[in-house]
Amino acid sequence: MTSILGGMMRSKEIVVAILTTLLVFTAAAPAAAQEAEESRAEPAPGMAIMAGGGPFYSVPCRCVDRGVWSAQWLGRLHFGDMAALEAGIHNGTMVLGGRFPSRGWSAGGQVALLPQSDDRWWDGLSAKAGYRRWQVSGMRASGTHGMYGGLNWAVEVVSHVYLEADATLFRGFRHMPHFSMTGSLGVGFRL
Amino acid sequence: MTRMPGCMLALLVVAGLWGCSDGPVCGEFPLDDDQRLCVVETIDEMVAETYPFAEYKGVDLDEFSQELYTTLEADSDDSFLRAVNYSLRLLRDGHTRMERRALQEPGVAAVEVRRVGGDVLVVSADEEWTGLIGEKVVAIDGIDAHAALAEADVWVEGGIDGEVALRGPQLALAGEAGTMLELEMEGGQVVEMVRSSMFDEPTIRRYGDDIGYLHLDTFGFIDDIERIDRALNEVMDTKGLIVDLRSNGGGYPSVVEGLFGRLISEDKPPFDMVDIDGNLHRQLKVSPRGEIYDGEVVLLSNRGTYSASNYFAHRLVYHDRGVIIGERTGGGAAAPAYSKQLVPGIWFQVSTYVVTTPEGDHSESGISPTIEVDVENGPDVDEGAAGGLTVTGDPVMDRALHYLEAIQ
Repeated sequence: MTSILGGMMRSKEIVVAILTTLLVFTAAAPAAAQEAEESRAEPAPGMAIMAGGGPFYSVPCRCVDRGVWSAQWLGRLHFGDMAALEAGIHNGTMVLGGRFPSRGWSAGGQVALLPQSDDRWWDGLSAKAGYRRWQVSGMRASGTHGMYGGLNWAVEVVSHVYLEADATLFRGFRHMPHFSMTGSLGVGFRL
Repeated sequence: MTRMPGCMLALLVVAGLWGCSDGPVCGEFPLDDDQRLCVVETIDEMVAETYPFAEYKGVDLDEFSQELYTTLEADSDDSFLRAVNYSLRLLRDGHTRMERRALQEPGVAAVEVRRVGGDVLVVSADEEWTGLIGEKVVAIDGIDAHAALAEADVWVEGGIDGEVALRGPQLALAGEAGTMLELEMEGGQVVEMVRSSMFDEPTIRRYGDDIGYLHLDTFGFIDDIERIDRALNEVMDTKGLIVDLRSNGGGYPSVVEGLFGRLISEDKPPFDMVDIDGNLHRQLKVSPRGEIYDGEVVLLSNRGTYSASNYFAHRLVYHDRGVIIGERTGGGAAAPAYSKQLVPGIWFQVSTYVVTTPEGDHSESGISPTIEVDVENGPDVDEGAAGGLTVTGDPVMDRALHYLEAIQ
């Protein structure tokens, strides 16, 4: 009975996460559609290197008891200024008394929240969401996974080079159920 | 210009991975004289550099070095490694040892094999495989059974007092938990079975309405913090909690502190981790976590309550948060933070940082129980006094139930 209920709970959590992801993209869709009419750019590759950290809220404990830090190497495929797909690898540390190395990968997308121009403060502001697989050294389980969502702000500093700031909420399920909130800074390159 | 980002990324990835490979420091098998000397010198240096208990335990490090160097006369790699391992007994420290392999999650087979006469036979088995008892094993995972057992023999004896170690034939069948073990029996029959975890997940149950029982095989998995939290959440309404750490060989202090944090309502003074010269390496802090369990706490212990679980026992008595019932704990108060892979598949680790109270006391010799139970001669309780609670047939458990009922 417990495992059935547990399975139902996990399914419910995953569905909620997926719906949240869809909601983020749906909210941004009008802006994306408007932009798409204005310019139908060819897909362009890009990448970003980000580093950051934040608090970790353990669901079974109902407490914030640790911190997570990570560096991310992301490859992207940009569709004009409005949308991008991204996938990357993560290396980091979970700080819980000692330091526990972590690693993982993610895949997701970004959509600009508002129509883009060259002179408004929100230019480069995107919503992002996706799936992430995560492994902490010393886990009994082979890994855990979850969904992330957040905001990314990229400001072009020189041609093709962007400074990026990122705020992400990750919901981890299964063996290490938690929410982690991560703030990251980094550099992006876009052709 | 456009190639630059890719090159930088590749460079960073390579740089990030560079530090992860930590190969053997003394070369590959078969070992020549220089490589064996490297093994001996490396161990000797590591012990001299970091081993913190020589004075406390009256260990003569010169005598140890002398015996260590005599191992160079061994006539094979196997006997050399056995002799090196044997010499480590002089240090009388469970954490200072050689290790045959490092598994993410050790898995054991549902059968045991042993050399009987000239054969390798199944000598015991779980219920599902009892039909194999007495059968001759020809190959283990495709390797000749005798060769597999011979390789397992190189497994160096574990430590003392509760260090969990797979030895000899048991190791030949071991592997990562969840993987398949394939035994080829005489006559060509091939038997496949899944290796199960050596360490059960944390379990919780109730005795009556008012007593919770938490059993922990290990503190060796970081995600067990969440499992322990879930388990504790189920007994928050009880008045007494029994934490069974018998034969718990330790693990991460962080998991210990995760559990202990659920039992305290305010920050406690940090314990220190100090090196051989008394220099502070880092502090071990415990703070309240989540909903606090405020009932009575009883820890069940024996000589196998070692290392991190000994640390839990030390915390419990130091902060007067509960009582210990059972036998004296096994000690193991130093973290083996320094290790090297000497030759392929064989690591040496040495006790490095001693865990001490703010006053500088450590628990290397174990923690005395509040109530000692003579396990050999049965419960020292009037069984009738256990009232409605189950008398378990386990004298330590019965004593704990009696204690909690009495103080309630």
